[in-house]
Amino acid sequence: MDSQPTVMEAPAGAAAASATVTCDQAVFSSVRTPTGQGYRIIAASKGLTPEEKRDITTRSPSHGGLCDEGPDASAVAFYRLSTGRLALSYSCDAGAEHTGRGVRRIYTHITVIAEADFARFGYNPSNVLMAVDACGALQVQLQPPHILNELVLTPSNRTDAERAAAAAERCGAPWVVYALSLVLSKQRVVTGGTFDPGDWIEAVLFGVPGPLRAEVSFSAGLRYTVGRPYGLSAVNGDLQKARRLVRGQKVTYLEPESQPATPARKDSAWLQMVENHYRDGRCKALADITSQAIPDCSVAALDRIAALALDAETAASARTADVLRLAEDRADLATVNSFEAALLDKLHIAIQKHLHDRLRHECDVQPFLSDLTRLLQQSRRAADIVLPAVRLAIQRLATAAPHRAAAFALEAVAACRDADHVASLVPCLSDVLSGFRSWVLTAVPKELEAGRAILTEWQFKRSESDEVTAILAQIDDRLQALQYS
Amino acid sequence: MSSALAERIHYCLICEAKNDPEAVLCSECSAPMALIQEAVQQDREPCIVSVIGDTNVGKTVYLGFLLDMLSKRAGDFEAIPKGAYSVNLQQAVISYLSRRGFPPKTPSEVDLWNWAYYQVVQRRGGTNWFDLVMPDMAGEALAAEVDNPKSFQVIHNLLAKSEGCIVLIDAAVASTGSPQPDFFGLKLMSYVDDMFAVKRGDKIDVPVAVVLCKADYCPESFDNPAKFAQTNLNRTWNICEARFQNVRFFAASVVGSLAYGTDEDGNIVSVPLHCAPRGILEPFQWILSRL
Amino acid sequence: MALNLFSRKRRPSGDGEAGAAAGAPAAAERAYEPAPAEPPQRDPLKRLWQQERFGLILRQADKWRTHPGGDAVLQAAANLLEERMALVPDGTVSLPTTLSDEPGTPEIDLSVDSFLIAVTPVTNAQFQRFVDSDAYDELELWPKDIWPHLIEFHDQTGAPGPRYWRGGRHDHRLAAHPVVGLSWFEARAYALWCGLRLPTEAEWQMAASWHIRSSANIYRRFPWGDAMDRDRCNLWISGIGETVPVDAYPQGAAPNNVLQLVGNTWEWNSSDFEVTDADGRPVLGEMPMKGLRGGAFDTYFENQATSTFRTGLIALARSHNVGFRCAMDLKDATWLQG
Repeated sequence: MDSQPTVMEAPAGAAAASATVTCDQAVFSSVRTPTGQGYRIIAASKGLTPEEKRDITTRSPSHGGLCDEGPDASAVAFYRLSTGRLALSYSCDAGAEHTGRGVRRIYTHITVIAEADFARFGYNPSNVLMAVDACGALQVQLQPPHILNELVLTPSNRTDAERAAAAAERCGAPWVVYALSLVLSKQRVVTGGTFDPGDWIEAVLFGVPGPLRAEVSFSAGLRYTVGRPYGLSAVNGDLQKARRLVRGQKVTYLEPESQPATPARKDSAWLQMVENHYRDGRCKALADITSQAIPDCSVAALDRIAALALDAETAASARTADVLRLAEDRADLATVNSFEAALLDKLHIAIQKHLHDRLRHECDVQPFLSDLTRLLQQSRRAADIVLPAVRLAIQRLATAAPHRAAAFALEAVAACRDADHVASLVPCLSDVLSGFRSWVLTAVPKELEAGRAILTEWQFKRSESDEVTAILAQIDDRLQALQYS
Repeated sequence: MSSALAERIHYCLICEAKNDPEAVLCSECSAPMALIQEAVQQDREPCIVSVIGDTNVGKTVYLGFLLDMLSKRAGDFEAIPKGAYSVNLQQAVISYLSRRGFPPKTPSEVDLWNWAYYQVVQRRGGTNWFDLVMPDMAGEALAAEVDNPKSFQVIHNLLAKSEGCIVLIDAAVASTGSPQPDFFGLKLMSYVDDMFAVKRGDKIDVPVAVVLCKADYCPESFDNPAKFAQTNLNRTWNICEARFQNVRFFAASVVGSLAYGTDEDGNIVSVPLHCAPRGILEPFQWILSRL
Repeated sequence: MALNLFSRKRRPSGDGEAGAAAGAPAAAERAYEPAPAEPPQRDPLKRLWQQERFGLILRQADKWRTHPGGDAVLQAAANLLEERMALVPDGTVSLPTTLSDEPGTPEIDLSVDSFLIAVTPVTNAQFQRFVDSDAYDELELWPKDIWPHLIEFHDQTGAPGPRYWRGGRHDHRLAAHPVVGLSWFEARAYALWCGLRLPTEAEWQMAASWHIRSSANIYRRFPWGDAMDRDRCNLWISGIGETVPVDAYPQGAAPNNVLQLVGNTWEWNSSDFEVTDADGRPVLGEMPMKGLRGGAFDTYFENQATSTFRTGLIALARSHNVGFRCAMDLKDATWLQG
């Protein structure tokens, strides 16, 4: 019996790394120390450069900088520093400020990570944040040592997409994709609403190819301010203020929950793929694709990738005739790199699975035989795709109509370009011949005549075998017996 | 309306970046576009006087009281706010202090700063009206800019365009012997010195009023602010003497009596029991006399 | 003796505290016009009269009745006190106990017995006599725990006296102005020295609000009525920016002709200043505080110059805008007991 098509293995680049990642860190808050007071970097590890400290200072919020208020308020931001490294900040409420002037203190922890190390977290800032949290570094320390140790993180590239899926469902997949389209075309987006800003950001980010995520600065839960231009901002709370501030700025402001229809967007295969995934609730699957080390993130490459992914969806759900056409079109598709090749393999497997499932349950496999034969002939790769289906078809026919099975088997063997392929069909031939024995006893004369003809051809095209000879003799006896009865 | 000024209506008054006509804030420096719009409407370039100082020194309170006093025609000045936004600062300061509280800290985010655009005239002396822009900057932003220039470009641009500076220094802290106010004063004056750098040997001409704030805590600073500065803020004094030819020391206070309470988290809260503003107008009057 | 350590030493003019001016101060010295000194009377009763210690004279009536001219002096002292002190009828006052004085905030009600309050605050000229009598060295006028601080009670030149004087003399142009730049202890000492006392906070409020016992149950926001009027008092809004003579603003008088309860200078009262925030947590000064009332020439907010506004200041503070006036018990007012 043929085996189930195997699930494609994840590419080697996305495998969980076992080594640790070392990062720099800093704390930005307002405390009184012997050297000063007010919002500033109060602690930092030695590896931070003056330029990085300057960038962190201008990006970090002071009081009133969070959308939410109260002890549970928090925000996350991500941006590239002028040195090229990436900063991931987590801001939270840290109680009343020491000046007693009625303002809440904001405490911000900043992790500074190299881009190469970011990849080891599946290009997912949430994974970085969780690793930092696991170290305990996000705990508020109002009197930290002035010099901090480096952070040693355990990288993880898991994708936890539940919350992103919830945000997408709440706002609608078209809005997520619209925002994504703006982000990918390097336009700045601010989204306001009652949803969790972090979930929304994650939903959009999962549509961004992993290696491009380092270029997408974002803030989730930070009050919008003109002076901190993030590529993607998600705000809640006082939207009135945000609406006012974005006026005249080179920013697109969205409110998915209150605006009735998504603006028209310039479509692409990539965006379509993302939308399909969100619409169908397959956020995790999307995240699994996009969080990998995609080697080529150009528009053309992403469209190719998306096309393959969309084809895989087609393979899962379309009519068999369409799947067969897909196999014909895609069997010999040239890929540019191993990532695309892996996706193509995945598509092939999807086609295989479709055909296998279909033929397994289909009563009449006859309509598919000519397509299968054509694909066997098309190319080695096409033959690879359909061989399991061919074997299954032969097996199915062998029990009910071995003469047709034999005819198909002969065609299939003749169509195969590859000796390996022929060899893989040989076990089916035995099944066909086995089927003949019991079939002869019940077949009508016309069928017997057809069976004899095909077996004769079989003898001719293949080497003579005793088994075939015996079946032929059996057919002759049966015909004779029927003639006389 | 002069065409030169009118042509700049979409250019930020502070950093001169071009902006979208719809923009409320400058996309480069976050200064309000209302400033240039007002300047165009008034058809004259406003005079910028910067009030700078460390965090918690009292810039907001000082500026709020100054503007309120000018609005009340103190010191023979008459001042009219241009734009409702110009009143926000004095309104907040007066509201809080009249109810025995201090206004909240000014956030570092530039778009949350209060900007005041006033038309001012000194009634005696027959001077013409002139326009005044005075932003209330966050001390932390100033500190960050001083420590790391270009952290807050708007501050750099503001100071570069300022025709006068009022530098506030915490006399109360200085009088306790802490060197912090002196060090900050030194850094600030050094930064201003760099900004208006002139060839070696020449002193900077921009008028700088160094105001010893919270002087109610150390009343001797009122007696002779220059001597107090020389004694307690010697580093600042020295750089002022060496590099600025147009500098004068003042003492000012707003609070007549200060007490302390605690908030719900146990933090000490300063409570201004009553207000007795003193020395608020004099630095401003002096700056204007030097323009 | 240890007590000598706290005795005042008159330092030569110009060799003063760290705050003494240089450059500009020299100009101030030239502009300063010290009041001429009065040679003290030899006769002790006449000296008391010269010093205007009328309250003390009446307290020591038995002693002076047998003194030559004693009866006449006693009568004259009573007459002058009758002129200079005004009766405040009994009544009740409500003192806010929190920082807020808005309607609805917690208050305590206090009954105030009739008493006498000075029509005007103490002037520089009057206080000069206190200084001239070496009262800063009379330790019985000062609480014992203040003795170490007595050396801090000096003027710009180091001489004993209010903060803004020079050489132990007031500027004669300010003779009729309220004396300022003195601590609560100095105010109290002067009152004692005169045979009088400081009013309590409740008494002061009674005098300013005139919440006398009557069926009307009304009190005044200001001594003259309920509306602020910058022409009736010297506050910041009046635009003067300094003190004025104590008899200015007669139109701002209370019903009993007491002047300047509001404006010109804050006035020390004898009460400790204790207040809480809205949640009942205490609000404290760095050191013990005493009550102040009435507002001053630099009081910016009108609501801080009403008859009911409570504030305080560290008792040792010697502020440029704080003066005081005296009070006396009715039982000491002999002219009312005839």
